[in-house]
Amino acid sequence: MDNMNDNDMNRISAGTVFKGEITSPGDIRIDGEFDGQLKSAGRLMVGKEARVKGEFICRDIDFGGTMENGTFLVEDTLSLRSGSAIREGDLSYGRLQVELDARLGGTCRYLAEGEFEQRKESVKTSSSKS
Amino acid sequence: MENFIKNEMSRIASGTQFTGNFATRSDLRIDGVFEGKLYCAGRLVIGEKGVVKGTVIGNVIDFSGTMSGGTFFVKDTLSLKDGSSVDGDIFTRRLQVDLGARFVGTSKILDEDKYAKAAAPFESMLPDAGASAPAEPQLEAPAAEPATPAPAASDEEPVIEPAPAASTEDRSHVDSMSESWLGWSKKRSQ
Repeated sequence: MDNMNDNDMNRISAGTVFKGEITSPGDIRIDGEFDGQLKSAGRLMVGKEARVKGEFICRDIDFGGTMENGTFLVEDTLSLRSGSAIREGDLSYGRLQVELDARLGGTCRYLAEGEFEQRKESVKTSSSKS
Repeated sequence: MENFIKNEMSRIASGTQFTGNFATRSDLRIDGVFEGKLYCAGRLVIGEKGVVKGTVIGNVIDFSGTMSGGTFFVKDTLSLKDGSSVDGDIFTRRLQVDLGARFVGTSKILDEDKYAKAAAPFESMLPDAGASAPAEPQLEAPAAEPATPAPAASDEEPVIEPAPAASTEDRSHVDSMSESWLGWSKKRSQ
């Protein structure tokens, strides 16, 4: 990405409830509640208190919270930290790491060559041109 | 590592192919190819060259090899080590997947009682399922009298009395063994 400032990190702090779509070239950190669709060209960090559901399309995801149900589409590394929980997830990733005491429930698969780009494009958001 | 010293460990070495049902209460290490149903109530280690296909029920599993289609039912912890590859379904209480491990399939966290339900059909595979540990086998001859009496067997020499039968199994092979021992002890005393 051109001229991406490392200080540009989006945050949804604890206590916040967000419902909708987010698209960002930078990193995103969620500590509150998120229900919707998230697209990041960078890294998504989900804190311990966070509760999320929906569709998440990122380069990396560092997951420490709880996902009720949803989809993770991760180009590079998906890390599930100790204490995190995924109740019913559809996970596609380049690399996977699950720490001990992460609860993982759902389906896991590796992304094929070019699959990330293809699926990313097919996800329609209100900001994309038709 | 206490278990390593206390318990015996079964092994399926690399270069070996096993097909069928395997159940053990002790530890098990697999470096060969296993196809079938596996129940290990101890610690199960699958080495880097190990290949497993089928159903694996265990307590603690350290997995460094390959699973090409199958299911894990794990009571405690399943660890997929760096370099391993799993293509299958995982039902476990705790899961750890190292960064270099490859996991494709479904995963579900099981609590103790859910594990018990899932493992119940396989319990009968274990030796002496439900019974206490078997008594030590007796090597002395059962009911049969020794062919050669031992009149010279005096107090200076230990005499093996035929012990009462511990079970009703066929022990005909033991008779000849103890017979020859008594014959030898008689010769010694002469």
